[in-house]
Amino acid sequence: MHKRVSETMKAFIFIAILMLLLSGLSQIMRPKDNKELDWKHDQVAHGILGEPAGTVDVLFFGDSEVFTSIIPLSIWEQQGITSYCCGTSRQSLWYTLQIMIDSFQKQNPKIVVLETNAIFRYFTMDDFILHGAEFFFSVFKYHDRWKSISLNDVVADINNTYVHSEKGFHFAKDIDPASTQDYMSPSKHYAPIPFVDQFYINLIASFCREHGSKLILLSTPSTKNWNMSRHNTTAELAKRLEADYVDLNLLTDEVPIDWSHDTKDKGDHVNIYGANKVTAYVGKYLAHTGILPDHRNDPAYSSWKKDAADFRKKYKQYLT
Amino acid sequence: MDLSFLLAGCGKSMTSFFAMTFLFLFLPSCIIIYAIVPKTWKKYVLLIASYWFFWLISGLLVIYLWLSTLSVFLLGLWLEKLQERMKTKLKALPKEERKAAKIPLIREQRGVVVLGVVLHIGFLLVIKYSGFIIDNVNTLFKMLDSPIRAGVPSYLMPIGISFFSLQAVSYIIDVYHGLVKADRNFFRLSLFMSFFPQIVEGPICRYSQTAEQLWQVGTIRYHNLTFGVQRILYGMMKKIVIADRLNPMIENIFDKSNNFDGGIIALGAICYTIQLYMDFSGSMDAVIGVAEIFGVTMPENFQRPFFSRNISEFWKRWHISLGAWFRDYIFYPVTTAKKMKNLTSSARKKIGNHFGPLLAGSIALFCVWFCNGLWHGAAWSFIFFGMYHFMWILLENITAPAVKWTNTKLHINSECLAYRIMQIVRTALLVIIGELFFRTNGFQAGFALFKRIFTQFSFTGLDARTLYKLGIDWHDLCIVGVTLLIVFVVSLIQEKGIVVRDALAKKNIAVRWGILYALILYIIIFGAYGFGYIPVDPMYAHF
Repeated sequence: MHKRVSETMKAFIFIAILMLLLSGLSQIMRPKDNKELDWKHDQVAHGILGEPAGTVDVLFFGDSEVFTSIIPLSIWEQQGITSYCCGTSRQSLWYTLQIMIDSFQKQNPKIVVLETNAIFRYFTMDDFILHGAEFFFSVFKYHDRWKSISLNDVVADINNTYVHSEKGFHFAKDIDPASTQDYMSPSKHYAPIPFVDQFYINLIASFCREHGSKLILLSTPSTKNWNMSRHNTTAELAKRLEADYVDLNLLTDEVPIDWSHDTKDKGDHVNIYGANKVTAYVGKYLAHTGILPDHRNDPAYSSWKKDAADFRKKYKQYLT
Repeated sequence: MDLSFLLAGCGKSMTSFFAMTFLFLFLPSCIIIYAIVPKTWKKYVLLIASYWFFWLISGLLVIYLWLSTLSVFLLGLWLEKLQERMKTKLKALPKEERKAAKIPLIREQRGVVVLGVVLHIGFLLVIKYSGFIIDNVNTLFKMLDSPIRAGVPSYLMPIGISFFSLQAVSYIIDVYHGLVKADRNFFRLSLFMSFFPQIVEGPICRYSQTAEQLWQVGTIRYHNLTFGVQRILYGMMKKIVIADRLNPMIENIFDKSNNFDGGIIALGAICYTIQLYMDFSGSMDAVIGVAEIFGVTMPENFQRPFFSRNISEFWKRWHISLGAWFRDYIFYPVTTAKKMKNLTSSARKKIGNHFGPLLAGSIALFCVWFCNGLWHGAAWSFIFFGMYHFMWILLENITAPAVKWTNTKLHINSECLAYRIMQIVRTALLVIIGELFFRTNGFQAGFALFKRIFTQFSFTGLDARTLYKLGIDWHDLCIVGVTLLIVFVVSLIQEKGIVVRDALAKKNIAVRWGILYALILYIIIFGAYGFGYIPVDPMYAHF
C-alpha cells in the first residue's frame, strides 16, 4: 500500500514538473512580435494585435469567405466604424477562438461577426486534442519556431509591431463566373454541425457574452459553400445562441451579386466587385445597430483616414 | 446532436499509434478501465477494447476479423478431433499396422489445414491481388490483340488483413503439427487474433507467444507502465522527429523526380530507407510499449538491421516476425518435402556438400521471396523487390566458399573492424537500392531513377532554393541528423548487449527523470506535427 502511494505521488510530481517545463517553454517559443509570425500563422489576421488598444469596434472572424468579402476601410469611409478582418484560409472554430482571445487582450469590440462557413468545417478529434493542448501550452503551436529562436525570445516581453494597412482584407479582381443552378433552392433539411464545432461555437458565444460583445452570424454570398440546409441550421443556431443572423445569400435585392461578374472562382468567393456590394450592406447594417460610434472626426483615428486614402489609391491602380 | 464523428473521425487517424486520439483518448481510457475492473475481467476489457479499436478504424469490416477468428477456431477444434480420433484408432491397432493406417488419417488432417490456408490466403489473394492479376491478364489479351477484357474488381479491405491472416494460418498449422493445442476458448483465440496494439502493423505473433500471456493479464505495475511509456516515447521520436520530418522531401523527390538530378535522387533513396525504418520500427516500439503497459511481452520485430553484414542477416533483423513466418511456413515445408529431400541427396553426391543442399534451398528461397515481394503489395515492383533480395541472398550463398577461400589466401581477417564496416556499408547500399525500386511506381520508373543516379550524378543543385522546393530546410536536415545520431548511439549500446532501459533504471531519479523530460520536450519541439504538417499514416499499415 505504502509503495502504491509513493508511486502515485511520484507520478503526480512528474506530471507537475512537466507542466511547469511546458509552461516555461511556451513563454520562450511564443513569438514576441506578430511580425515574426510566418504564413502558417497568418500574419495578416494577427495584424489586429498591432492595432492600438481599444480602437477597433468590430471584429470579423471566419475563413477566406470573410477576408474576401469585407473591406474594413470602406466601412470606415462610409460609416466611420473601425473594424478588422481576422479571417484566415480554411479557418476552423478552434482557431477563431484562439485569435479572438488574443485580440481581446488589447481590443474590446462591441460587435463580433462570425462568418458561418467555418461552423460547418469538419476537423478531427486529433485536431481537437492538439488544439486543446495548444490552448494551454503555446509551445505545441509554435514549436517550429526553434528554427528562428534567439536570446530575445527568452528575455523580451511581447511587443506586437506589425499592422496590416488594409485591416485584414485580401484584394482579388479576377472574374470567373458561377452557375446559379440549385443555388439556395428551397430545402427543409438541416445540415449537421459537427460535434466538435458545436462545442467551439458555444465557447465562442459565451466568450463574447462574458466580454459584452454582441455576436452576429453572417453568411456571405457563395454559390459553392452555401445552401438552404446550412441556412436552416444556422438560423436555428442563432436563435439558440441569441445572436443576430444575416444571410446575404437570401438578400438578393439588398446585395445584388451578379454571379457572372462578381466572383473570382466560380462562386466560391466574391471578388472586389462583389466585396463592394457585401461591404456596403454590412456597413449599413452595423451602423443601424446604433451601438457603434463614428470615429471619422476623432483625431485619434487619423491613421485610419490615411490608410483609407492609401487603400483607395491602391484600389484604383490595381483596377486600371 | 451529431455523434457520427465518434466513429468516422477517430477511427481514421488511429491507424497511427502516435495519433492524438490514440495516445490521449483511446489508450488512457483503456488503461483506466483496465485498472479499475476486477482481475478476472481485465482480459475481457482488452478483448472489447481490441474490437472497439478495429471498429473505429475499419467500421463494418470488423466482420472480416470476426469471421477469420471463427473459422480458425472451428478448424482448430476439427483438427483436434481428428487428432484424437487418430490416436484412439492407432492405439487399437497392432504396431505393424499403424503406419499404413496413419496415412489416410494424416491426409484428413492435411485436408483441414489446406482448407484453412485456402480460406485465409485464398481470401487474401482475392481481395488484395485479384485486381492485379486481372490487370495483367487484360494486358496479355491486349498484347495478343484479343478484344477480351475482364472487369477489374475492387474490394473493401480491412486494415491489417495481411497481418491477422498470417496469424490465423500459423495457428492452424501449429495445431496440425501439435505445437499448440486447439483453443477451446473462443474469447482467448479472439484476443490473440485481435489484440489492438498489433492489429495494424504486427508483429505477426504465434499463438504460443502471446495467447496465454494475453489471457493471464494482471494488474498494471508501475514498472510496466514506466517502461512501456519510455518505449512509446522512443518510437515517437523516431517516427515524428525523423520519419515525418523527412516525408515532404521524399514525396517531392519521388513524385517530381524529373526536376532533380542523380545526386538528389540518391539522397531521396537514402532518406526513404531511413524513413521506412524509422516509421516502421518506431511504430513497433509503440506496439511493444503499449503491450508492455498491460504486462504483455510482444516479440521484437527489429534488431538494428543496419548493423547487418549481409542481406540474409539483414532480413533476420528487419521485420523479424514476417521473415520467421516465411521461414517456418514456406521455407521449411518446401525444403523438407520428400521430393526436395531426394533432390538434395542426389545433388549432394554430384556437386558436393555446399552446393548440393543449396539447390533445394534456393527453390525454397525463391518461393519465400516471391511471396515476400507479393505480401508487400500487388504490383510488379514489389515482386521485383522480392526477387532483388532473393538474387543477393542466392549470390551470397553461392559465393560464400569462394569469398572464404580468397580471404584465407589474401590473409584478410573477416572479423576485423574495417572489413565489418565495409560489409555493413555494402549491405546498406544494396538495401537502399532495393528500397528505391520499392518506393517508385513500377519497375520501369524505378530503373529510370536508378539509371539517373549514375548518368546524371551531381550535387550542384543542393542549395537553399532546391531544399525549399523539396519542402525542407537545413534546420530540418540538422535535427534529423542529430536524432539519427541519438538512435545510432542507442543501437550501438544495444548491439553490445546492454539493455538501455535497464541501465537507466539503475540511475538515480534525477538522471532518470531528466532523460525522460529531455525526450518528451525533444519530441514536442522538434516533432513534425501541427500547423503546416500533414499527418503521415504508418507506412506498413498499407501492406
